[in-house]
Amino acid sequence: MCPLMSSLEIFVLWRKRRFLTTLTLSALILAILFFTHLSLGYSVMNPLNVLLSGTTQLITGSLGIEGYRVLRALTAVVVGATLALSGYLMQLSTKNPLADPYILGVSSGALFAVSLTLSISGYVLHPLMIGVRTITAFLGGLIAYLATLFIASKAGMSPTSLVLAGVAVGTFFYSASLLPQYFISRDIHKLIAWSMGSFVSPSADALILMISALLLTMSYAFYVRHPLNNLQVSDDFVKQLGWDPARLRRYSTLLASLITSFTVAWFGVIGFVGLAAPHISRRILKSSELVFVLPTSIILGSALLTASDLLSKVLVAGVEIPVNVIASMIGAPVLALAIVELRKYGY
Amino acid sequence: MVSQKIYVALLLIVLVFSVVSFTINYLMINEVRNILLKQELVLSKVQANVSELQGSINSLSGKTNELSNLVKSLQASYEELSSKLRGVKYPLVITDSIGRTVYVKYEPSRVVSVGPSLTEILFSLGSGDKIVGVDRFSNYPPVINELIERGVVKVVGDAFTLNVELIASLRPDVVFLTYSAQIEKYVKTLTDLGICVYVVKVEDFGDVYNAVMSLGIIMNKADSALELLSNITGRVMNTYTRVINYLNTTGTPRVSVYWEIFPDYWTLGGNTFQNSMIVYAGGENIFGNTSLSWFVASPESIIDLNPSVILLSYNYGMFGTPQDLIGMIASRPGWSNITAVREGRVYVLGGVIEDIVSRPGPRLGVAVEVLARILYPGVYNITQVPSFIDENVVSGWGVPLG
Repeated sequence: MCPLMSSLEIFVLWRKRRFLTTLTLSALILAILFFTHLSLGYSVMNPLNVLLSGTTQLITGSLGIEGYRVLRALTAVVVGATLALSGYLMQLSTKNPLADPYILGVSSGALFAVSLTLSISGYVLHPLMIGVRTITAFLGGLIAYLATLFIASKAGMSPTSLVLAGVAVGTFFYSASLLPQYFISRDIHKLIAWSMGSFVSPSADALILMISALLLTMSYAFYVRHPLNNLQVSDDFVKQLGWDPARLRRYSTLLASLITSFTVAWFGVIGFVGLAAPHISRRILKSSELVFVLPTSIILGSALLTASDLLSKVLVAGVEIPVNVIASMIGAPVLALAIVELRKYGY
Repeated sequence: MVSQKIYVALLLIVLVFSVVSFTINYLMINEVRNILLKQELVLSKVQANVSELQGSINSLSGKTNELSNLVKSLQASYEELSSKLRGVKYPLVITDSIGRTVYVKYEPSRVVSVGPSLTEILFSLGSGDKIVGVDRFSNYPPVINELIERGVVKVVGDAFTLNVELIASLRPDVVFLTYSAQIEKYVKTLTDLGICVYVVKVEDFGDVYNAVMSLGIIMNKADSALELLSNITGRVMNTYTRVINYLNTTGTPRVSVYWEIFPDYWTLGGNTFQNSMIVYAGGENIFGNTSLSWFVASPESIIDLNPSVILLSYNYGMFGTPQDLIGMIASRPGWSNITAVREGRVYVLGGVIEDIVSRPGPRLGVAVEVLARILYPGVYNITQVPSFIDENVVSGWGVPLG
């Protein structure tokens, strides 16, 4: 007769099963949303058809509506994954449940850089050109992030110092980004709307760039998954494991900022997904284990943003609503349901 | 003891004096108020005619005569007004675009204009010499730039950020503000400083007519105002009838237009003056049947609605050369099948023309004439419409820009 399993073993098995079920269901939901996104638009099309002809169009380079839809749906998926991953890493590093991808001033730096180039533009640079936009936003985000890092390291590189430094730098650059807008154009509201985020003009180059950055960050997170997970406990615990917690924080926030500044460069600031996806995952999984939460929040983030983009192009016929608005409106109730049991997970 | 008595006596004298003067003022105020109320009644009649005019413009569909009849009735009520006022025109009581009652004490000789449309209107009325302050977007007529450089006219900011102190230091008799959501807080600040403020809405065609009439009355240039309105109406109606006749006699369908005023996909719905411009030029905005103002359109719907002409605002070159803009349009996924792109009817509106078509002001007639020539070059014997349309091109077509 087999001995009964200890309650610990039962718990471990239960957790794993819950994770696998959640992951499969989320992946299924994502797939459904993806195909719905492909099929809906100004006219309803067969999603498989769209996928096939869209992919061929993307490969050959001459895009039609199908190619546009595939590109846009893929972008929503990738950006959602990016923001969720970035948000999760930020929450880990700063030990702050309110952390989102922009907490370290990255988005403000990127916004400021692009706003600056827009005000110099027209005569020298073409700011909507591919290379120019990516490089300026990336540099802007990086500079802001380094400024945050510098201030935080002077304060001991503790989680709190990171957050506060991020607030200081972020606010500075955000205000600074509004300044050039007042001097270049009367269409201030349009520039602000641009910065609010939209997938209406997806770019294949941007997509490739973001996928590679995302994979890079994911592989890093996988590599340091053990100490990174224990960052939630305490710094001393991580040191006991033989890893330097400050360095972990530095690298994970650096990578998170990197991928975030790319999304800001191309699609402006899309809030909420980075904050909400990890929390919702924790609630559903009833666990804070990185191995479980990370993949789930990535898939949930993609699902959330794909759903939002779908609604933003379909809600009002012929009109594009900023995806930011919709993401917040869908995400907020879901998050509200999830936070009720936050105290169980150490927050 | 003695000093106290003197003190009390002085106090009593002051008290009696203030009571007496207050009573006298009170009685006088009532008299003045009566005069003002009488004027307001007649003025509100004029304004009622103006709103009737506005209503008629909005529902224009071939009723060309009604427009000129209304201008005539406007003229008639003005004549009635001037005969009743006979020399006593000021002080004036007038209601502005947001329902505020404005008291204009005397004929203004120092005026601040916040809004390029308002500056243009003031100059067209012949009151340009009274302007002492403008906003930073006022650039027409060109003489204003010289005046700013010479320091005769000061730049006081724009509709979002006004330099209230500068305005106050200019001691204006009246400040004309273009209405925007942000302007409300400035209204209170300026009126607290004792400055006479008149807020003007310039969002659609009817608003322009209202603005011209109101400014004309305030500046004692009501005749010029009526003349200006007749001119604008004339130009618009001439273009409209000519194009509609052409369409009716040749059985040509109306040209559908997509106008991108800002990348990406920022366009205009039915509730804008630019939409009215397109209508009077004989065209049809693909989003003209919506009740939206300015919004971001979905690219798929643009492809589906298949416009015959695409207009792009140059945005002062902020997004590159005209070729860059046209190239960007053509390279959008699926856009190469749109009629406008296939036939090469993608036009960039730049230079002075960009200002003219983006400002609801006295040059509305010019805007409509320009648009009509772009949409129906055949009617005007224009063989080829260039991709970049600026003041040189338009002058070459023989269209007066003033």
